[in-house]
Amino acid sequence: MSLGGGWHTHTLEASLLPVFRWFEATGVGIYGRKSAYFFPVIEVVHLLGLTLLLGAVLMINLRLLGLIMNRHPVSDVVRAARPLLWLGVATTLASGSLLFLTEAVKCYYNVAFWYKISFLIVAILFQLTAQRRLTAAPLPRAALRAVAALSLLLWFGTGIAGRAIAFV
Amino acid sequence: MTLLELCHRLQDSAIGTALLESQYVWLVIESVHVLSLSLSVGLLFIADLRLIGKFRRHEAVSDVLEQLRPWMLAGFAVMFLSGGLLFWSEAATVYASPWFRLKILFLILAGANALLFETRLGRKLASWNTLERPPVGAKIAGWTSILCWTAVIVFGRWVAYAHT
Repeated sequence: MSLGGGWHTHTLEASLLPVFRWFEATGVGIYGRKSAYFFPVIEVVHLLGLTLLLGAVLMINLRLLGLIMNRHPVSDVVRAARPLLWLGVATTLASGSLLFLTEAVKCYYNVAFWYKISFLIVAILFQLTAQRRLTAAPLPRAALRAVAALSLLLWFGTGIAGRAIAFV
Repeated sequence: MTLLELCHRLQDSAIGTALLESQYVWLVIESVHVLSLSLSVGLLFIADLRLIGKFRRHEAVSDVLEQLRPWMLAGFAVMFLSGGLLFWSEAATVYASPWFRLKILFLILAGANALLFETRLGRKLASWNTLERPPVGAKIAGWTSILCWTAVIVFGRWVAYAHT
């Protein structure tokens, strides 16, 4: 724990602890901890979803940065990559929720988990709003670059913080 | 020297030991290895989907493939470099893992599939470049690639679960 002592006794998170305990006590949570295969199998699915999601994120952002597929309009590339991106989001969210249920309380005390969730929420909201703008009308180059940089930061930030949950 | 002896030598070498015993370096390399999946296999999946005819089928195959290729290759370079360092630190440990052997097997199959595609259908690309329904060979190559790389990821992740 790198956060200061007692941070969880007087913050918003403190009121969430009972909820996290409840998550962990659900049938899925209990089954997941008992089974030797549940966590590894679901985590592999999580990893495959991440590959697809970040692959699609890269494709969109490399286009925004003007590094690939420059002959095609941004809106075209975004529209093409969108289903892959949301399929990746759906896969990682579903598998990630199952993983979370097996160790919700550990996550509660894990600072990397909170970074990951924060990055994830902002990343999804940003993707939804930015994507709509990108497919609506042509934006100036500087705006495209800014969108790409922020999107890469948010999605890879989610990935890095997520990987760090196992390490901190 | 047998393969196992070589693995022991690698793992026991100064660099192998330093990597394994480092507090952060190993973790950073491992994270890079996992996240560069997006650049390598993530983009490769997208290219494979075009080969199968499920993605961007109104666009020339070369448009998708050639645009993504340098980025994929950069991703695979990072992948092999970071993976090589991880192997260095645990060579003898993973040598014994059947999952690691399966991973390597599928890695070789994936490579052979790519090589076969590049030297055969890839060379005649001009004749089927703009077809919305790619030839059967391209579909087989695309599916084989997706399945092999999925297996590499699955078995690769399993290596870590099996020896802890």
